[in-house]
Amino acid sequence: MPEVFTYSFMQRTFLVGNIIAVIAPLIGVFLILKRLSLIGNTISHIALAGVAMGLLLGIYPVFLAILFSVLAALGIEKIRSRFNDYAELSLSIILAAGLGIAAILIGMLKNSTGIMSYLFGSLTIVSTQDLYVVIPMAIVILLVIFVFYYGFFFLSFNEKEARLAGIPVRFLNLSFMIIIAVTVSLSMRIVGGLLIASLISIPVASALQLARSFKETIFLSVMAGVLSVNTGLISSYYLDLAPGGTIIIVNILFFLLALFLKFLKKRGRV
Amino acid sequence: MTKMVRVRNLSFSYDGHPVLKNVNLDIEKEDFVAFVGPNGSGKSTLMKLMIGELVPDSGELRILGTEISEFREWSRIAYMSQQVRSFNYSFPATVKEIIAANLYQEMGFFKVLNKKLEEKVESILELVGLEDYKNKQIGSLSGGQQQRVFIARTLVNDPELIFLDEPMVGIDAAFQDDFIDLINRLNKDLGKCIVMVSHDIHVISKQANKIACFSNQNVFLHDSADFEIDEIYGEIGCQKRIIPEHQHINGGDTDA
Repeated sequence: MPEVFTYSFMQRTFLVGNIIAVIAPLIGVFLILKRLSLIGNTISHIALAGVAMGLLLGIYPVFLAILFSVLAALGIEKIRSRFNDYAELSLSIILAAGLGIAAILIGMLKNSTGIMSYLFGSLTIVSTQDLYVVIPMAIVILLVIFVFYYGFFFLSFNEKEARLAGIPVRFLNLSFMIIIAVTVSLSMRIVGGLLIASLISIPVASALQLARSFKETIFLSVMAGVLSVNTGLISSYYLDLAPGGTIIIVNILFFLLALFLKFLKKRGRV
Repeated sequence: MTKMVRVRNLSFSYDGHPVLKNVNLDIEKEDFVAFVGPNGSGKSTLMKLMIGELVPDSGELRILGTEISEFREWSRIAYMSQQVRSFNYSFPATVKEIIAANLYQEMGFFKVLNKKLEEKVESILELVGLEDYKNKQIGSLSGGQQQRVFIARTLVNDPELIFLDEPMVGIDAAFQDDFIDLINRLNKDLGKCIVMVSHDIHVISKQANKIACFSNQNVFLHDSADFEIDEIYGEIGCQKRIIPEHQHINGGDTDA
């Protein structure tokens, strides 16, 4: 067995990393096609405020990150459905509020080294407690997406017409926002709060270059996510690089490769 | 017998500007009703009221016997909007996926396609002549083909009442005839009730059995056999695409 897999902390990191690698791009497909990619970024900044609060109060930070981000997600959904014209502006304001609160709380921490791992991710901080939170929540998320697959698909394609097809629009939108909030909070352990939005969006951007159907977009996005997380984790272990950053850079390389393949495909047709 | 649509004293305004005032209208099961009238006369608005997208200010509106505010059986009705083709053309979905999504209510616990539903999608694609395009991306099709996909989508649930808002805009002339044939078949052979907004009075008045004229914030229903289209053309000269203001003997009282 390669050395990287012999340590129990790395085994935990790989397990959580691969779970995140599946769910982040999976929800990313729906999020991006709904043209709401800014939501991932906004929620991650709110989650940071939750983490900082957790560290300050000595409560498990992921719990508070989930609590803060779910509340913010529900607020965002309300704003999105009511003030559709300025939804982007509201998101920017909520993002700024989250970051502002996070900055104040971080300033109040006596020892601010812990927060760094939540900002940029870390290989060593995944605890057994994290596994107990991440695994069941990821199962629930996958189940919800699979159970309501065509409902989420319709909402991404045309939310206005979905109601007439008998799709529970409000329920699915609210569930989806909660799923995003939980995914973002869980992902902070590995890629960090500042980079999670990239793991939600870049694999999908790569998949969109090559996919010929919605199903294929999901498959390729998840593949890109899993490959980039594993490549990123292994190289960050051996080269002593920040895992979050490495994962994102690998993703960017995949995206460039996808662009190149698309270019070749187009030329092949001419 | 339950009427497909029953409208009584219905009024609606956009931001205080009245669009429809005290409208009365009945649509029966076997009807093919054409909504005609100038731009802004409330044709699409009445249609949106009938599918619950807009809420009337006052009056009664019953769809398949149920008051619209309480109506939940959406799969029994179908609607194709004017904006149906203004979607993201790079959306990575195939024709099959787009049509399948409309079968949501027929899917089991897991909202995915099973073999039976897949066959349903295939047979509806055959009906609109797109069986070879099942796995093509929706954005790569021509305007007319996309329109056919969306018609197939509205039909896949086997609805009883079909609302079509300007379905022939942007589709090629060759398919317009096929399309009218298809609508006629749905109405006459399969017994579907059709309500259609159209600017092409000449074509539509020949096919529909009833014409609803929208004018002066009101709606007047005619049997198409009594609808004097040539007379109207005479009055409006070259402006053949609109209905001018005209007198109605029974003043919009659809019970008369």
